[in-house]
Order: sequence, then C-alpha cells, then structure tokens
Amino acid sequence: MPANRFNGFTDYGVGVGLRIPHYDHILNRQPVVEWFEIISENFMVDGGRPLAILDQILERYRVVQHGVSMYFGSADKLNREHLRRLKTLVRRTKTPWLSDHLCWGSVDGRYSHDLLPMPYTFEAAKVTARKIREARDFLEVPIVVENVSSYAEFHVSEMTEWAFLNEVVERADCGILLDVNNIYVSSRNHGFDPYEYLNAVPADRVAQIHIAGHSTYEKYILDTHDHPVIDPVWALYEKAIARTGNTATLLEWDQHIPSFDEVHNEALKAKRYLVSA
Amino acid sequence: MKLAELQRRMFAEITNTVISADYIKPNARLTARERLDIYRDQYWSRLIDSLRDDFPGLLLLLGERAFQKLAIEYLTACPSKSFTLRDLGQHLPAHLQNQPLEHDMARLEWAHIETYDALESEPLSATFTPDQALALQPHIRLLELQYPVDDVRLKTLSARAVKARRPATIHLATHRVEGDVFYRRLEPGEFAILQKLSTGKSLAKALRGIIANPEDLQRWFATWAQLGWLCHPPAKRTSARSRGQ
Repeated sequence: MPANRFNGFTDYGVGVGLRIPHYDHILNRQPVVEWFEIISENFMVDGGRPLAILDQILERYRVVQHGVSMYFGSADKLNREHLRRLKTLVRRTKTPWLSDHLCWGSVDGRYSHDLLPMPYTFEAAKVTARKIREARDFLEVPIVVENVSSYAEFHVSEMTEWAFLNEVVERADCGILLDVNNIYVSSRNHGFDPYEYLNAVPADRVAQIHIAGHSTYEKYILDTHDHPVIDPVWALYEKAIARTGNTATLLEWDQHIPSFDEVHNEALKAKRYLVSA
Repeated sequence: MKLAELQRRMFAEITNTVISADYIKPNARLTARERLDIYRDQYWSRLIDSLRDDFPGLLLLLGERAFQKLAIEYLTACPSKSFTLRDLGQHLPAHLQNQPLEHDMARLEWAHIETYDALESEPLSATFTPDQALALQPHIRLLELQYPVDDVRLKTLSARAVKARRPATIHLATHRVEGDVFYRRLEPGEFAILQKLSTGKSLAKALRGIIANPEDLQRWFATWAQLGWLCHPPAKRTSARSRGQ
C-alpha cells in the first residue's frame, strides 16, 4: 500500500530529516535523495536564512512537514496563530501530508516543548480526534499522527496504547506516522510485546514510517535519535512493511549528527526491506 | 481524573515542585516519581540548553553556574507561552532590567534573534520625496546601550574587561545581509534619525530637531542606501467599510 489517502497518494520512498549541519553539503553537492522531512516549527518564521534555505531545497527536492508542537492531545484549544503560520508554510512546501505527534505538551497556553504521554482514556481520544479534525479542516492537508516514545503510564488509562491509537485515528479519520523505534522504546519501558502493538495498527492508515536510534540507560530507554538503528528495530520495520506494503520511510537523527552521507546510508538500509516493484 | 486536571497537575510538577506523582504507575524498575523525573529532567535541560544557544554572550558574562541559576529563575517566572522555542527568551531582557550590563546583553541577543528571521522588504527606489513616509527594513533593530556588549558577543572584548568599564552610551543597529546578522555602531544623530524613520515618519519630519552637518547626513544616507535599510511603509489594509461594502 505505497500510496493512500493519508499520504496524498504519494510513493515517496526513503528520506532523511533536513538538518542544519547538512545544509552546505546538500546545496553544494545536490545528492540524490528521494525526499526530505522538515521540522515545521523551524520554518514558521517571516524571512531570513531559514526560508531562503528552504526555498533552495524546494527547487530540487520533495519536502514533507513534520511538527512537534501542535499537541493534539492537550486539553487546550488549538493555537490559532500556530495554525495560521503552519498554513502559510504548507502552501510554501506543498507538503502532501502533515504529521505531528499523538501527545500533549501545553497547558493553559503554557508550553513544555516536550512530547508528553497521553492517558489512554476515551475522553482523551475524543478530545484529540476533535482537534485533529479541526486542524485538517483549517490546513486543508491530510494529517497523520505519530506514536511517541513514553516513560510513564497513568492509572486512569482505560486501554492499551495501540487501542488508544486506533480509537483516535478512527474517530479523526486520519493517518498514522508509525514510528517503529518509538514502539520498541515504549515496549522496553513498559514491558509489552512490540509485535502485539504492530499487529494491532490499522495498516491501511499508515502514511509514513519513522526509524531512528535511541540510548539505553540502566533502568529505561530514551528516544534520543543519536545512534544508528538497532537490529530489533529493523526487525520491527520489516514486519511493519510486510503489513503495510512499501511506505514512505524516514530516518531521524537529531543529536551528535554525523556526515550527511552517513545519515543517508543508514536511511537507505531500509531499502533492504522494501519490495521491488 | 479528567484530562485537563491530569495535564495541569503533571505540567506543574514537571515545571515546578513535585507534590505527588501518585497518578503515574510505577514499574518494576522505577517509582512513579522516578518516571516523572525523566520528564522533569528533559524539560529543564531542553529549555536551559535553548537559552544557552540563544544567549551565548550572557553566558560569557555570567559563567555557567550563574547562567543556569538565571535560566531557572527566568523560566519559573516566565514559562514559555509560544509554540516555538525560538521565542523562549523574548522576556529575558525585561527579566534582567535591574542588572544593566546583563540587560544590555540580553537586549542585543534578543534583537539578534529577531533580526535573523524577520521579513525583508524591497529596498526603497532611488526617488522619493522629503514628505513621503518611510520605513526601515523589518529586520533592523535599533538599540541604545550602556555597555559595549557587542564587543563581548563578538569576543573582541572579554567579559572581565566590560565589567570593569563605566557605563557609556553606545548606539547600535542589528541588521541582516544575505542571511547573516551584523551589528553596526551608529552615531547619535544617525540613530536619532533612524529611530524616527522606524516609526513611519517622512524624511522631513525625521530631520526636524536633528543637529548634523550636511556631510554627515550625506554619508549616513549613502550607507543606508548601500545596505538597503530604507523601504516603503507596509501597505495599510483597506477595511471592508472603506471599500464601501
């Protein structure tokens, strides 16, 4: 299922995140890359270098927007200024879909700038789905939500994380950005079977897949995006592709960022699991 | 516990004092408090790192320990109210208003951030009349400072040396050329004219009360023209009523 209504019926292949240390390499060497994912918030500005770089990238490459602060799961209303700026950027990039996280992070207009875990309740699913629908109606682009890594669970939860994900995307009728590294990290932190999670994901809603590395500590695993992808995560990716079919895949590497070639080569390992046309 | 109540409580405990993490499940390796602390640690380290990146001059002036203390005080007093970390330090100059040297540095560094990603307008064409309203490029910020903090930020003056100096007014513009931010020292008369132009005054009104010799004026205008600093004021929106609807 390479293309579906949640990713704008695209078949993007394997991409990498656009990061500042790689700007010169990309603009000067113009490597062959199927697509770049940008962090929307880094480009929701009025002018200057960020937009000048973005425009140069857009001349040569396909770009998909990924956000970190929409906070669909916050009880707060959506931030209208945020939406307005996001829409301006959507028009600039012509992103075929737009992703953000299934999490919360703001309270009463104050921001944590973190991806905080949801309580898996029906009330939370309802609030989250309503906000996703509102955002989609305003932005006029398919919205897909990403499962996050988490380090805490709540007593009030009424269902598993994967049941909550299903509840939200069905109510919102939106797509999923399936982060297989996040499934792995959370499975280790909370002691569930990652394949049970994976098998419960509605494959026909998966618009994009994230892969990444993480850091292992004595008592928990942290989603740090600062290492290559480990074999158990590749195994999850293989299983995900077997269920979804070839799906737009993106490697995230956000700290201790190595050379562009190293990041790109790590991303291209995903091709081993994609089915040749 | 309802969603809003849970989020208010967890947010308060991540950003302030933990009263009880009893709404979080412990697991075999971590208590509820330890699980909450993962988020607390991430919150503080992410936000303090962001301020450290945005205010390197202030970090030079204060040193690591005092900067961290300031960051915690500031973030407690002024929690982020923007979706973007870019805005995190916007109230830091006001927070430091009783510390003149640090206040100046914070103002310069916030101006730097604003200059970096502000809009750029089409520079003014060669012909304009003295009565025509003008504007400055939106990326220009004009600063009157008591300390040469630009030199500290550019590392041409040490933090120790600037602390030893007596206050002496300097005038400065932060501006942008091909994506890079620059600081330009201004003469007092030049600063005064630019300040008036930044409020949308015409050249004739901006020059009123300014004592400057013609050679200086000519030189200033030549520099502003070369840097593309002057532009037309933004077009005013035509209201529905004025369009007769």
